[in-house]
Amino acid sequence: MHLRDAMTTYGESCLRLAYLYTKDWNAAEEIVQDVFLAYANQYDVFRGESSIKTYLLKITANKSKDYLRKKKRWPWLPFGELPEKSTASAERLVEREEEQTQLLEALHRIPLNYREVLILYYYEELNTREIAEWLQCSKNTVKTRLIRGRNHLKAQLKAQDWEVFMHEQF
Amino acid sequence: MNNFKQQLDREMGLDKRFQPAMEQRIMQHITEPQTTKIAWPVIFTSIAATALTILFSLLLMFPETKQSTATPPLAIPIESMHVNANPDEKFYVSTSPFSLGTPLVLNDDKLKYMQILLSNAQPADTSIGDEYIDFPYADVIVKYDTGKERALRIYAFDEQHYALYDVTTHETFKGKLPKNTHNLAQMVPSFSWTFVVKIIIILIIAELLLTFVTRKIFAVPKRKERYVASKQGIIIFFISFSTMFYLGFSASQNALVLLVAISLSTLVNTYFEYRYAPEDRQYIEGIVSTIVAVMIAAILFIWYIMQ
Repeated sequence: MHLRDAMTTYGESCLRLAYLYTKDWNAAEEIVQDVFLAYANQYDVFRGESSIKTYLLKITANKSKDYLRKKKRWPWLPFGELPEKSTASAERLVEREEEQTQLLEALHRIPLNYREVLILYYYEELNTREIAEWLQCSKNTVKTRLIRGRNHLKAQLKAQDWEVFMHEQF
Repeated sequence: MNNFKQQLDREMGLDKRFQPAMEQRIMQHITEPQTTKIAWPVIFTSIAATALTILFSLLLMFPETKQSTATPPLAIPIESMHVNANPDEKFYVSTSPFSLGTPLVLNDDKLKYMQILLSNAQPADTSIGDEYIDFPYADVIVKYDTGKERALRIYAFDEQHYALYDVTTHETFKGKLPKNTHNLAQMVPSFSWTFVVKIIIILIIAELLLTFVTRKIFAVPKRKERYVASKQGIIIFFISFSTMFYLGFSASQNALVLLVAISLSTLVNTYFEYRYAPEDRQYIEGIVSTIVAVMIAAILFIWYIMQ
């Protein structure tokens, strides 16, 4: 698939996934830029074992984790404090702040290994086998992380917010 | 679509965030000439591999052989000795503790026996000729209590008669052993390849066990690819090749060479794994292997010294 087509089709998904990992739109944009740069450079070696969407999302997840690791390692560096590069207007930023509600905040307070599984399972709608392959761990580990992730989420959310998700099954 | 996804999308905003401007920016970035990044891992490993090759080459060109720098009396008390039981025509004894082929002998019985050989030898008028090469011989460097050394080649003519040839001063001594002493052949500890093969097999099994246990304890996942980058494979091949080249052409079986090669390979592997695929956690194996290898090397070294 041509780079421009890949960006048009999957750019939004990659950006949102990067944001769910990093909670920073600037960082997410940088990551997505890196993802498509990597795609452009490495498309020749893409083995076609998975779909392009999965391939791009995997790169996004890995680069997001690299970013978080780097941020953790060098906390004094100004990660996340860069000015907005997007063309969003000031009103848009205010609107975005207002839109931020409980679930996103709660999700970002959960440890990464649980948050990651919740994102992949509920947001990317992968099944436990696919997540296990993705993360190179066992299916049972994924299930355990899902249960613990849900418990973390429950502890973070107010009762009325949790009720909305309590019937989500896996 | 589940509630979770819907809610998250609502909270992140339903408008598209991946704008054409961003797409344009990425395209622009891709078409720009890329500044060449300095490939530190490649530079680092290239320097290390070059240093290793130079070290091996120097060892090949200048093998460590110690020869006596002074000529102490032959029969004074000795402290220790290094023996090469299977020498070539050219005298070769390494006093390096890492040399497998020329072990340090501290065993009392063997030192006493050597002392008898030295004490019973008398200067001979005839010098060593080419015909002596037909007799079994061994190379020895004896270290006296005074700290001085002598490099000697011992020729065994039969069970009792022998000759000592100082390779530095070219003096020849001949002697006859008292009847109640051991056979000459028993003095020389022969280098056993079966021992080395056993050690290698034990090390391979230990490495497999260690890998298995490390994978279980630290939950290191298995990976299809042996190397994370093709450069890694090339560098490891280069290190293995240069080591084999050295060992194939070197007169000594120097354990230091193997130690350096194995350490460097582990270091390169660990570095590449940690640098390029930390999420695969394969670098943990490298760290654990290094710790265990250092412990084994220390134990072997102590055992070797205690012999």
